[in-house]
This record gives sequence, structure tokens and C-alpha cells, in this order.
Amino acid sequence: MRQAVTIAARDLRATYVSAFGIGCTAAFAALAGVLLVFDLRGDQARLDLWFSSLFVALGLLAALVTQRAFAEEERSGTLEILLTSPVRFWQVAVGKLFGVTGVLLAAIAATIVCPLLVASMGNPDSGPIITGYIGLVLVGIGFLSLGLAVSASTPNPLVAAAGTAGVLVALWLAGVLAGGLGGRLHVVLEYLSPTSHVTGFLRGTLAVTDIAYFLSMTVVGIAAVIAVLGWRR
Amino acid sequence: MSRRARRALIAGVMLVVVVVAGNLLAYGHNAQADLSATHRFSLAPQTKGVLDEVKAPLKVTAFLNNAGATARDARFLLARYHELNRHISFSVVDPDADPTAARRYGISQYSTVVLTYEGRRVEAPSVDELDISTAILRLVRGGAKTVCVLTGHGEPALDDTTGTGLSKIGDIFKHNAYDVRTVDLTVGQAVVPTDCAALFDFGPRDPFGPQEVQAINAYAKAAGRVMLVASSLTTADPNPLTQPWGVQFLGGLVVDPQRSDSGDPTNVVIEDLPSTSPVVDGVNRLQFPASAGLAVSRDLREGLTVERLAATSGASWVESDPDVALQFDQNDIPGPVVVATASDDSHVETSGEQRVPGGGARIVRSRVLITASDTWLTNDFLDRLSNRRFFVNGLAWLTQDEQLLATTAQVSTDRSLPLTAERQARILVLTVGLVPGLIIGAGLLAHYGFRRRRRRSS
Amino acid sequence: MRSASTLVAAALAVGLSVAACGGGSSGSSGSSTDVPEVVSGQPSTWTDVTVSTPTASTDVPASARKDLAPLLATRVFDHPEALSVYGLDHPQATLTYKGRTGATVAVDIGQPNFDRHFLYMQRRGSPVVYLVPADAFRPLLAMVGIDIAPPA
Repeated sequence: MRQAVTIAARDLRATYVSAFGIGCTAAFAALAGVLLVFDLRGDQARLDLWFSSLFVALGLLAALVTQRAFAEEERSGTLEILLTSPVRFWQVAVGKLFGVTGVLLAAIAATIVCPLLVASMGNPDSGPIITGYIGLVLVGIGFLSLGLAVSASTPNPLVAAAGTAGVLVALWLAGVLAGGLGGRLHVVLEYLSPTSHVTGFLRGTLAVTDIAYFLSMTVVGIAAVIAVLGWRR
Repeated sequence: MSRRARRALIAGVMLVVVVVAGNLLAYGHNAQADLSATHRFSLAPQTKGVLDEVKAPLKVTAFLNNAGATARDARFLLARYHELNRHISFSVVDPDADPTAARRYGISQYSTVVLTYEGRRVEAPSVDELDISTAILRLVRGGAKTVCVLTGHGEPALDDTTGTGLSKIGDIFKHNAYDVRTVDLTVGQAVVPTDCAALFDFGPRDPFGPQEVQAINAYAKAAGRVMLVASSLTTADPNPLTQPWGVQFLGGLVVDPQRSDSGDPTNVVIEDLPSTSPVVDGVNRLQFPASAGLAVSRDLREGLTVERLAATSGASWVESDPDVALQFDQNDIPGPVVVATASDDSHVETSGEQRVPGGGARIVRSRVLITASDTWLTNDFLDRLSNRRFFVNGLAWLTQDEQLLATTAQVSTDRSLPLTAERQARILVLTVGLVPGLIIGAGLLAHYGFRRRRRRSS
Repeated sequence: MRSASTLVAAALAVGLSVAACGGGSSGSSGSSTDVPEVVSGQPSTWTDVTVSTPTASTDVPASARKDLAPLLATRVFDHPEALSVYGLDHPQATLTYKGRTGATVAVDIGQPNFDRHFLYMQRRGSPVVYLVPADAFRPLLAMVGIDIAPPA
């Protein structure tokens, strides 16, 4: 695990030393503020619409943050060094995940001023805010792990970003398709879609199914990273 | 296949099995922790029991303004129903944005919820757990109950769509899986059919004959359910029907200068609903035009309870001579005046139980709902204030053997937050200006600090 | 490529923000400080206001114009369904405002909404559909022979 942490620390430092990490975090915070103004237009001290918008923005953040994780390293030639070093693939995968999760947590933390502002002006229910943030972390890590798997598959960061977005859109489409079907297929497709698993976080509940879903997404993503790295070597 | 590839394949398959099994396990348990303030998305055990009875597709369509918080909460609540039973599907339709759907379902009010199941339809008056679950219970029970409506005394008709008609009441029966049978006790043998789930008399204008009174009282006493909508604007004296249930019809005309509508002190607005009866659940205010008064007897027989459901203000009175003047005098009865009551009479009979083998003693329960105005449920007034809700509650109380009593659902707290221009500006300055600015500033500091350290080390 | 990915990130973030700002809300009445106006301007802005049908036309008396200028809506549908749904494919009447410069603004009046408290309206030339309280329009439309039933 120490190697994974080392990889994570290195990636995090590289991200925040450059304009990219700062820019992403600042842009996400600004976006959250703009979304807050629009989503408070029902004149209610509620943040469910805001969290709902942030879940969509997380998909974008995941695509941007993970595009550099492997593809950038490959472009600069350091990936080969990493893969031929005595570090095991799972340590690389987990380390990369820890690194991008650090960026995710910083971006999410930068939005905390929004619910604090709403609380200073009104009387929001704190339960959905807590579950909303738990959801952001779980959903974000799930999306990041999928993004890492895509990033590990291609040397081109833009292709990696587009691929991650494509995977997330495909999962979302599963939910759309489910609406027009019945029976078991409807149940399966609906379950596969992330949109059916964020409702709980928005209303203030933590459901075992939702947590299991996003943890599974993370596990599958990491397993895919390991498989891709193994195949590439 | 190489050994490595085989190991990778086995690992992959095992991973898929573990992930799928884990999700199936989680899906089957549907457990959740509800952190919301009123725990309104954790459904009561009775609701879960009701949902277990849904074995075929059940569709819930809630007609709500999409822009409001109620619509969002409705989606959250109905999603929970769907999670607990995947046969239940739901949609929230904005009747203003989709007037075609509103017309198709015959919707005339916001917050109407239509539930359909196996070809039957029921409406719930609001999107809260009690109303939705009660509606589902009614649907899954199967079969339509028959309600009987008395005619023959000049009562308004259920198919009368004019302002004084009762077509909206007819719609409520139709939309809630009740079959309606008209019963005219003035013709032939005066007997109320025993399969009437409830008997309604909506504002008789002509007096009842003695045989009719006997027939109605006999029905009521034999575990019957009766709603008497009386009025003093008629020659019909309802006392022979009300007094056996501990209620005296005072007649006269209630005048309430303090709580009335449109400057007419006889167009009374009821704000005092002192009872905990389910008939007044969710009822905030009522409008009872041209109401008479009721009085509850002090000496009630054993087993009989009478709830005072609605009363006028202390400034009101029962005007005994409204044709002369609406002014309180010694002939008038001072308020507050009771205008609606619910009588519940339970007694034990030594035999007659049919639900268990061997029979035995049984409890006979009669219910009688009385209102002293007959105008409040006409087409012109049914949708004023909480009149419709009051009627629907009364219907449920009269016709249902069970009712969902306990629920964790509560009305949500008001969390209004008008988004003024000043507040918008404050949000934008802080979240788009200050916080990102601080982040960028911290980043620049870190960046230049890093560069300086590198220069020093080189 | 590092700077390119940074640029991509910045561009996407800006684009999302612009989209969030630019995208209107459908069916929302906006914040409490923002009441949508079908037609803005006080009564004095308009020299003439008429309500007309294919067969009848009448001037709106000055006393009634205060409810029509500005003409305030309760809800706005930025992306409405087909106009036939609102009765705006064949409007039952048209409200025409004539300004001091001679320019006119025409507002088509469609069918009442489901509970008949509101009327659907559309300013000619705009795709937006508005929901306007019907009370002020009942007597006006009666003047041109159109009877709007009272609310449900």
C-alpha cells in the first residue's frame, strides 16, 4: 500500500503544481456557485436540485481529471518506467485512484461554501446535505475508476476524456432505454444506470443498493485498469 | 491459453460473480438509513405490508406543478415505493405543461394522484404516504364497493353538472372504485340493501316518512354507515335520523361575522376542527354556506361516541329567524356552533362472527357522519378550501373496515428562501469570485514556492 | 499537451457555465423577484388595446387596461408542446397593443388550463407560451362573445 500512496502523492503534487489542478478545482467551485443560483429559483432552501446538477458535473470532472492519469504519463514516457518497476499493477491502479480522488475531494470541498451560504439565509434540512456529499464522494470515485480504466487503454488524453464521457453516457442511456421496456430487462437496465442510484442521496437517504452499486463500479473500474495494464505489458 | 491468461480469466469471472452477488443481495434487502428531518422517505411497516400485496403493475400518476418542491418530494417518495415493489411505477405530470394528460385523466385540481391497477382506478387527494398507501390498499383489495345514495326527497343528482349539482361527488365515487346505487325508499318496500357499504343522503328537501326513518335507522344500527347532509333550507327534519346517534339538528341559520366569505356572514368559514378523527386529517379550513347548527347530546349511551368535527367561531350564533334580521337576540343560540359530527357506536353481539370458524361474539360498529349544511359539497363549493378533502376522508371513514393509522410521514417543514437579487449577488460573489480566487491564489503561491525550492536545490 | 488539456478543461468548464446560464428553466416562474411579463409597459405606453376574434373586435376600456399592461404571467413554458395542446394553433382571441410609435404587439389567447384559473397565451412571433390568470379576461372575452367557464 505504501507504493500506492507514493504514486498518489506524486500525482497529486504534479496536478496541483500545474495550472490544471488549480483550474479544475476553481472551475468546479465556480460552476457549483452558478448552479446554486439557478437551482434555488424555487424559493426553497433545498439543495436537491443543486446536488443533482453536481452529479452531472462530476462526470465531466471525472473525464477531465482521469484523462491525464495514464495517457499523459504515456505521452511523457514515464508510464513505461512505472510499469516496468517493481510496483505491482494493483498498486499502480489504487495509487492512481487515490491520486485522482484527492483532486475530487478538493473540488468537492471547494463547494462547501454553498450549503453554508444557504444555511445562513434559510433553514435547509441538513440530512439531504450530508447524504448529498456522501453521494458526491461515492459517485465521484465510481466515475473516476471508470475514467482510469479508459485512460489506461489509450495514449491520447483527449480520447481518454471522450471515452470516459462515452462510458458514462452509455450507462445513463441504459436508464433511458429501461423506461421503454418491461420485465427483467427493465429492472436490469434501470439498475445499471447511475441516475436510478442518486435519488436516495438527493432525498436524504443512504440505501444499501446505491452504496453497493457505486462501490461495485469502483471495484470493476480498478479491476479493468489492472487488466488493461497487464494486457499492455 | 497461457497460465497467466487462465488465472486472469478466473479472477475476472470471480470478480463478476462477487459483484453481481453483492448487488443482488443489496437489491433484495432494500435497507436504507433516512437522514431527512422528518424521515418521510422511510415508509411505515403497514405501508410495506400493503406493498407486498401488489402483484401486478400498479401505476401512480401525480398531477403536480413541476416547478414546485412538492413535485420533487413526490418523486422522492414515489421512488421509494418503486424501490420496495418494482411493480409500482410512477410519473409526475405537470397539468399545466401537459393539459392533454390532465384532460385524459379528468383532473381538475393540482395534487390529484391517480392510481390504476388491474383495470381499476382510485384517486388519492395528495402525495403523502398515508393517502398513497390507503389508495393502494383500496386498489389491491379488489372489487368495487357499492355506495347507496338516497333519492325521492328532492336531493340534487349525482349527474347534475350545474353549480348546485353533485357531479363532482359522482366523479369522486367513480374515481375511487365505488359503484353507486340509487335507493328510493318512498317506492315499494322501505329497506336499505344490506350490501350498501355506506348510505348517503345529500340534502333532502322533503320530509321522510316514518317507514323510511325506520328503514334507515335499522340499516345504521346493523353495522351500517350513513352520511346525512342536512340543511334547514328544507322542510325535511332530520332529527329522527340524527337523534339516535347523539346529535340534535337545531335548524336555524349559522351567522358568523368573524369567519365568513365575501362579506356574507352566513357563508361560514370553519377554522375550528377540534377532533382527532381521521375525517379531519389534512383538513385545514372548510366553507359551509347556509349551515344550520348541531348539538351533541350530553347523555350518550354506552358504546356511542360523538366527535365534534367542525365548529364556528365564538362570535357566531344560530339565527332562529333569518328571514327577519341577522342580528343576535334572545331567541338565538350563541356560538361556537357545531356544524359537523361523526358518531361511532360499537356494541357486542353474542353471536354472528363469520370471520373465524365456530362463529361466536362479534363487534357491531355503526358510523354516522352528519353535516348541517348541504351546500358545501355542491359543484360550486366542493373545491373551496378543504371541502373535498373532508368529503373524501368521510367517505373513507365510512366505507373502510381498516385504515392505515400509523405512518412515519409528516408534512414537511416550511423551508422558504426567497432568492432576492441581493442574495443572488452574495452567492455569486462568494462562490464564483472569492472561493475560486482563493484557490487560484493558493495555487499560485504553491507553484512559485515549488519553483523557488527547485531553483535553490539546483 | 499539458497546456492543451488545461485548455480543454477550462473551455469545458466555461462552456458548462454558459450553458447553465443560457439555458432557461421550463415551467418555472423564476425567483420571487422576477415576474414574467408577456407584455411590458404601463397602460400609458399604449394608445390602443383591442381584443378581437375572427368575427368581432372591441377596444379595451381604459379602466380595464391596468390588468393588461404590464401583462403578467404566472408561468412560462420556454419549450412548450405542440400549440394545439394549448389551443394556440387556433387562438380563440387576440389581444393587440398599439404603441405611440404605431408599432403593435399581438398576443394570442388560447384555451384555459385544466382548472380554468388560467389561460394559455403566446406573444406572436415568440415560441414561448405563458400561463396568465383568467379572471381579468373573462369580462373582456365576453365582450367579443367568448364565454370562459368559471374555475373548477
